[in-house]
Amino acid sequence: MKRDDEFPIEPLAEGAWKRIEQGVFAELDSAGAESLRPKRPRRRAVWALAAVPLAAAAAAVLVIWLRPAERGAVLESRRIVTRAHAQPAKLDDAELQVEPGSALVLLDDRRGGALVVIERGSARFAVPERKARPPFVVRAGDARVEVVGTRFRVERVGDGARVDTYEGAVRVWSSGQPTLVRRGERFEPQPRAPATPAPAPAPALVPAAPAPQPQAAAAAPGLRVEGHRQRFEQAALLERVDPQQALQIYRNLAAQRGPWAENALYAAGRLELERGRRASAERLLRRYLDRHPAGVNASDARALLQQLHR
Amino acid sequence: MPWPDARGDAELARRCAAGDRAAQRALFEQERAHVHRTLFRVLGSNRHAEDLIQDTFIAVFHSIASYRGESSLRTWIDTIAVRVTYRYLAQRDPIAHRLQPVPDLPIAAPDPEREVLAREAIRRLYAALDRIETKYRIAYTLHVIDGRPIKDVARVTRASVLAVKNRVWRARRRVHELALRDPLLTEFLTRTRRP
Repeated sequence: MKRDDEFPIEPLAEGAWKRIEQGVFAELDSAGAESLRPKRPRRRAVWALAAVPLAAAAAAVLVIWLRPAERGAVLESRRIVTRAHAQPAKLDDAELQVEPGSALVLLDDRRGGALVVIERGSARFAVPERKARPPFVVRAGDARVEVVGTRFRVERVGDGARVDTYEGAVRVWSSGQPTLVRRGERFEPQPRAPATPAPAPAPALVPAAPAPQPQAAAAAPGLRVEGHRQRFEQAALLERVDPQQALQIYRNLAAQRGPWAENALYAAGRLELERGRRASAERLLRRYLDRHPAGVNASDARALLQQLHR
Repeated sequence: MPWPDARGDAELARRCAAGDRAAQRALFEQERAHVHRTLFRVLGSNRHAEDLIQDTFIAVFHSIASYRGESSLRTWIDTIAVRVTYRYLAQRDPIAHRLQPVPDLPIAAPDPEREVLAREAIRRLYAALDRIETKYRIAYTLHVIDGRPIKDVARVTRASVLAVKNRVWRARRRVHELALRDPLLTEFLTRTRRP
């Protein structure tokens, strides 16, 4: 065909076709027969980022919500995972210090605002005054911290967050209620308490002392659960270098049973969103909520879907 | 396992919707090359093709219960592929796309210099297409580059024949405006008679 001579079509490698095929049929397997029923009309999608708590252990989840609802908005997202040492980061003109044993995702569309989602651990923030710009938002569990210009620290605790403010003020939304946390005050997750004096203000962002690694969830009895946990952690490590393979592992795990299957389904939705595959992310997150309406990641999944359909 | 006719299409779609894995795999094997071709023509490269092909087939299987036989199954799938690609192009950063590398030539290329120039010209053509509206790009790539009749393009883009003609015309005009500043692209368009 003459056009193919002038505009040759480069073939895809066999390995790529195998990955595509595996991805398609893994999706069908995890969805089950219900996935083939006619879907409701697609609604306008909004970018959102969901984080997956890795275990039942107390871990701060940093979730970054970004609202690039405007067409043509430039969306940047990245995930930061720390182990034994803290790591500095920047988002827009804000400086972050991600403390050891943490995982968080940053999303910035340069017009809709900046959003940070804490999956586990904690981070310190120095956010210049936003003035007329959209707020800088930090999400940890069901807590949402809106920043207009301040220095503060957020630590995820269970399904909520502890917030210390060192300069300026932040508004923390939790369980639908706002609390203004001023300089020198601390917001505690549960039980709900009025703002109390915070520990001595931290100096300018400095590397925090290494924190003990979050306690891994006690391995449930049985080799199978332990195997699931290892596969989940393998996928988590693969996300940055081979996200397609990581997604494959999450999808296979999600078709199993148990707590790691639940986490894997949510992780798949979050990862798809990070990769910019909004339709796939929405499917996976809705499936998560259908199966686990009161699951450990349910509040994050709902918040993410709320943003998608705002 | 070809399914050449409307009855065959309807039966295959019905079996896929019923969860018949053999039928689903047959459909995938049957249509994967065509889906790749459509995506490649619109995108101009295989970058992101893997993800978009997967997205297309997932969307196909999720919605195949709604296939009504108003067109061939291939055309119906093409519509989904175009929609998936449109959504991707409308969201991404066009500046990042301009920076993608040109793939290496095979060592045994018969005329390496000509091959290099042709590849560079194609890259510049798609770089020019990056700068026009997505719906014009899709119409141009499917009709002008892939050679599909206007009415076929109208069918898969769910637009009228008149709208597609208008989009192709606008894309051509813009490509030629950009080519005026690019002798290599001008020469390529003249040689391949892409008006």
